Amino acid sequence: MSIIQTENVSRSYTVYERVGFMGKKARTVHALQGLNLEIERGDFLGYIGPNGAGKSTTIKLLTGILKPSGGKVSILGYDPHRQRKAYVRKIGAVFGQKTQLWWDLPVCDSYELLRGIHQIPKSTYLPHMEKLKEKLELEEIWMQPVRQLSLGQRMRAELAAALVHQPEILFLDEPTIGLDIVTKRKVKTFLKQLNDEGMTIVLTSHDLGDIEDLCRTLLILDRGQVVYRGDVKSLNTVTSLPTLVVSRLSASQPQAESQLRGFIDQYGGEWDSDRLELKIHLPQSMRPTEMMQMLLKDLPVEDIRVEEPDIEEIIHTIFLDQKQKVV
Amino acid sequence: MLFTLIRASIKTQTEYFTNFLFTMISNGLAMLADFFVIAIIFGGGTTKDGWNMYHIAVLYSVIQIGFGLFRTFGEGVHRFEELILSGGFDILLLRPAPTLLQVALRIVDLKRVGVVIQGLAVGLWGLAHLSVPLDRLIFYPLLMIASTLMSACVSTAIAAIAFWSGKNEDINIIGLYATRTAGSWPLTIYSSFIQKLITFVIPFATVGYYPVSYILGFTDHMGALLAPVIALAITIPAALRFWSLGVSRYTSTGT
Repeated sequence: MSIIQTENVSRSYTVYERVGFMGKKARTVHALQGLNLEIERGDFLGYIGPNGAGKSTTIKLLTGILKPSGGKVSILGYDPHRQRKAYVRKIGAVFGQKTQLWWDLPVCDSYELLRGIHQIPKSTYLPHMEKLKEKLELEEIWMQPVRQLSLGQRMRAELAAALVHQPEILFLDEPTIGLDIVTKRKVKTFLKQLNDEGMTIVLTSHDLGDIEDLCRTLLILDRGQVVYRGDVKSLNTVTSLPTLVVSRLSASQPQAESQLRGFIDQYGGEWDSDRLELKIHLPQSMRPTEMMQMLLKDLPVEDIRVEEPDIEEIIHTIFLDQKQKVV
Repeated sequence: MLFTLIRASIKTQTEYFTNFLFTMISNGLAMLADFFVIAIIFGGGTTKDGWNMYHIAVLYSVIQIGFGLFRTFGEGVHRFEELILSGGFDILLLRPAPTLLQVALRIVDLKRVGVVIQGLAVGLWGLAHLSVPLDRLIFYPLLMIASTLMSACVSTAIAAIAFWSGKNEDINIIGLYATRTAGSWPLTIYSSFIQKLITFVIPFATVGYYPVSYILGFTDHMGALLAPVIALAITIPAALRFWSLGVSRYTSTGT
């Protein structure tokens, strides 16, 4: 059952551009056009796209911050903008660049204030916070004013703040931006665990590593429109990017030369004579081992490996395809 | 929840207590100097409809106390553009509390109590030199509340402009400061344009001049006493409506 549904949602802004010294000209920017989404309970949805693709706008529409210009958003049965006060009790959100903590107060005071705003009874609040404190390793910063925290510490504190009221859906906008590797890994492990326990998570990130490690479903957005939506794992089937079987040959022998030309002609690929590497495109119908056996039989192979196209390349091609379509 | 919001903003400022106390006192004294100017200009004279310095002190105090009380609990509305420009309003929208209440109580500015005390002192000084019957005096405290609400309405409407323009500080000066100051003088000293402006557009006269005229016995007309009720019955829903229209127009900032 899908708990997040959007129907043909769009959002546009009017921007005023300066013309000459005093004049202004209004221009409408379509940040998002015809977004249709269905997200299942328990999903971990990753959301990527270049700058200005409409990622932040989407998150703000889903969290009820912005009102859609057109279309309908329905999440957990609520209209996020119209029923904002009831709706936000069910969701948590972390925006990488904006803090929801009180800057001058100790971390624990912020949670206490959020408890008051959400009117959570102490009996559920205390054990829940104890758990979060342990999982996010907040012990050392518990009494520290927020302004003194490092970026990594603050992000962990922010996650706890978004979870104080035990929401059903968690929205994350660039949660790992600027974090070091160790903290990033901690945050990722925490999110993974949270999702395993049943939390629905929607994440935007520039970091494809985040998406690949965490998400089940992937959504690629470009200029306000969805260009890909599906499993993270089956992403490589949508592009023409082939899996490569790369073999390094012992030495360039004349008879091998003609043999490898034969492979290239038949399957496609390339020969790097400096590094003595032969890259052969693996046809969709063939298993890597079959290709390897053929190569081993016919050529003096010294080393052999299989290269899947990496996610960054795939996404790059998707964007290129998209541009060509537009042109 | 109300309590939590107030606690949140007070907690952040009482960390610097001496500074806090000093600003509160100097705030009050600065405003007192403000009234001395009125007193010196006016001296022993009266307006053509008979208002002397003591009468004006009472009128002045109603507007001043209202403004002081509003800014004690609503400074956040007054400084709303900070939230718009920083995009911090996003975060308030993620909390299950009314936006206007959160915006207002973001800054509970106890230092403004100094202004309230000063206004009260001026008002009581004026009343001490006049003999106001008790059945009219009882409306004086009620007027303070009406005046507070009027300041809040005007400030809210001005703040809501920031949803469109991104700024409201400059408009505050004309829309709030100037009209409030105008409202603390007897209406009859102004041209008819200004009179209409502060009666119908930014109606500080409805919580000041008209009802104070009744309290001080310049008129027995019940309409003067009802002016604040009628004016607030219109301005409160209008200000709230304008605010929520602004919220639905909110565009947030890019990241």
